[in-house]
Amino acid sequence: MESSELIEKIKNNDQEAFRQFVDRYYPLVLRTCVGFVHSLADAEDLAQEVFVEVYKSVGRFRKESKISTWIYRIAVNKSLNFIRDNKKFSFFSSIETLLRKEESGALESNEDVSSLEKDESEKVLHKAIDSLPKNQRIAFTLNKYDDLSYKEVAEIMDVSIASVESLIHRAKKNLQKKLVGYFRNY
Amino acid sequence: MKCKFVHTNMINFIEGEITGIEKEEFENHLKECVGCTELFKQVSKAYSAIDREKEIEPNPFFFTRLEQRIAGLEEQSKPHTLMPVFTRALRTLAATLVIAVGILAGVILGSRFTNESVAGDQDVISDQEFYAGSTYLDELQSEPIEYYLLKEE
Repeated sequence: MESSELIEKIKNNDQEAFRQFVDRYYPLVLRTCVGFVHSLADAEDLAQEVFVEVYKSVGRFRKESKISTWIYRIAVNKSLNFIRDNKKFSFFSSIETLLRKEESGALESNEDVSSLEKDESEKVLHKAIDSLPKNQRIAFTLNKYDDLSYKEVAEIMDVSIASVESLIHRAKKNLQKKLVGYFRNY
Repeated sequence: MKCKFVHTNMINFIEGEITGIEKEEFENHLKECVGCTELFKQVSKAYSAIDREKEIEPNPFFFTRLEQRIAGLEEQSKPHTLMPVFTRALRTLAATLVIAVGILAGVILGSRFTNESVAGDQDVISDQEFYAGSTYLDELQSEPIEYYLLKEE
């Protein structure tokens, strides 16, 4: 069944259509949210928020944009709002992480050390992505995490393809600068 | 080729955006320069975290949880009917009645007690008698420690 047909059925409170719709778009939404928040648990919660929003506002969807574009926009907005709301708690959570690390003590096996290194390199990348300016971050995340083309990213962000090219180019430059800078002093 | 070119083109190289002679020179430089090789390893390892993050397992119970949440939201957003308003008013009325009955019972019992006590004055213990009796309970007052000390001597 086409997504537009599903939308029409959801408008008429068809639960089975909504289930099919969620099954189709859930992986996409989850990946986008993970790209922004870097946590599967938070991304799951955000994906729920996204589909609740879809369910609530499906009556207002006027097919002016593609369904996937509409869903991506909701996912991006929800993710950015989540990041904004959680910024104030990041200081306390970093203290908690530090305390937990101290409690767990020294690591013994090589496996633990390598997993710590993996975590460290992931953290560095996340920090670098999180520090990008908003539009660079959106363009980069949609392009890299969701494998969307520049054209698709442009549609979601409502900007020109040239702008997306520029945003992603600058995002990569910034990321490289941050990663190289970090590992040179490592 | 200088280290600077390698440092500024690592992500382009990882993503295969460097081709031809530049790519060859990049690879040759990595073979010669230990510092750049180590740096490249670390940067590419960090950058590959994106691919690892993309490999996520969707939660099979996602729709069930979502369905429950939507049902909860719908329940909350239901308009209040007359019934709950009536029930709340009834509860308030019942509570008021219980308090009023309690006060009334207190007043009636209180007035009866006062009348009885006035009628049987001879049974009432005076304050003096009451406090005189209680002094025997206070051992310190009846048998002070100084008394024992003096007695021993």
